[in-house]
Amino acid sequence: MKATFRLVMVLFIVCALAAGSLAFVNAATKERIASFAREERLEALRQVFPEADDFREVVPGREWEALKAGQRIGGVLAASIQGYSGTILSFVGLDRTNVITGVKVLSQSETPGLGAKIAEERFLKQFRGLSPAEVALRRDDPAGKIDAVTAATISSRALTVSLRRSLDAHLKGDRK
Amino acid sequence: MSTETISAQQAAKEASKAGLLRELTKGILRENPILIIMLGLCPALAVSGSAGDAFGMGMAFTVVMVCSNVVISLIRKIVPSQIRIPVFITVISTFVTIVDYALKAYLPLLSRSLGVFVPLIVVNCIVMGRAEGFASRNPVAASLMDGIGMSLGFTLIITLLGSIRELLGNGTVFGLAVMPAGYQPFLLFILPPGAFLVIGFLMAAQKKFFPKGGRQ
Repeated sequence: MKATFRLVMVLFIVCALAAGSLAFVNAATKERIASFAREERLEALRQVFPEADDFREVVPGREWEALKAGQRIGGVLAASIQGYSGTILSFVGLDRTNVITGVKVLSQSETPGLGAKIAEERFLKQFRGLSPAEVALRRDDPAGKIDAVTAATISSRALTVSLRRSLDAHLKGDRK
Repeated sequence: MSTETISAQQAAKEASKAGLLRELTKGILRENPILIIMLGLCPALAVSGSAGDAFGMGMAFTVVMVCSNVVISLIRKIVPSQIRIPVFITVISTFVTIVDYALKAYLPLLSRSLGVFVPLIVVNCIVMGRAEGFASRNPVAASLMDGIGMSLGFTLIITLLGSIRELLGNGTVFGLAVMPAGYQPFLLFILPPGAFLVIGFLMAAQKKFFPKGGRQ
């Protein structure tokens, strides 16, 4: 009985100490982690919409208004889709005349050296200046203006399709 | 294992400098955790796609390994043997979580590329193996040295693995271009199969050039 009690006590003390130190570490780092996440999102928003100087969240995590000197000059949409491996999360900026201002991939886990190239500027710069109807792979849609990354058609298509879906849904919503 | 424990205990009893130094250096080559003991292969293979990631993983591992070895050695006399495993796991996972949070707060980019492999240090068999096999039976100083030595061995091999894979698969080492501009990257090496190929050659090289490894 005494031995059992000792087991319980030792385990209890060890766990209590562990929990205490974790609570301390959590309190010490929580603010920094959250502020980094905010900072990073703002940086991504700036990259897809360089002209804007401020962003206002319209739909949390999905849609932002791009502001310049307090005036609305466009919006930023988030898009996510299942890629070749894992989820691809991206942002796309759209100005008031429905021209794309930029695209950025926030997170992806595509094959390094192949699919992962969809996050590179070389591929993403193709989107800039397109209208939503042109966001499609050339090989899939005659109106499309996007060339897929060599040997990474699935990843390229996934990103393009997810952007197109977000854009179409947004435009439909606008007309209502 | 048993002869090693006995010799380790003797070395610790003497508490001589040479004994502690031995505990420190054994992890680097003679009892290298990856090449000789062959533990911790999962993170070694998975996070060695680039030299930078591999080195970061090595450092995260070092903090956990050293801290948990010291703490487990400190409490080895008050922990009844029936519950030693849950206690070890609690200690190890506490340090892993601390490292994980610290990385997220101060090195967010590294934390992102290491991804799930930082939390997975909890189940890294090297940490568990050293806790059970060494720290729980040896004094603090020897356990500290053992932890540092094992970490050095792990970091050394995983960084080497990462450098070779990055060099062949991307033409760079630590992000710096090494190969001439016309070099066509050998993509296979930064994909998972490349990890197996390189570690195979590293083990073969160890057998060829340091054949004493693993034996006293």
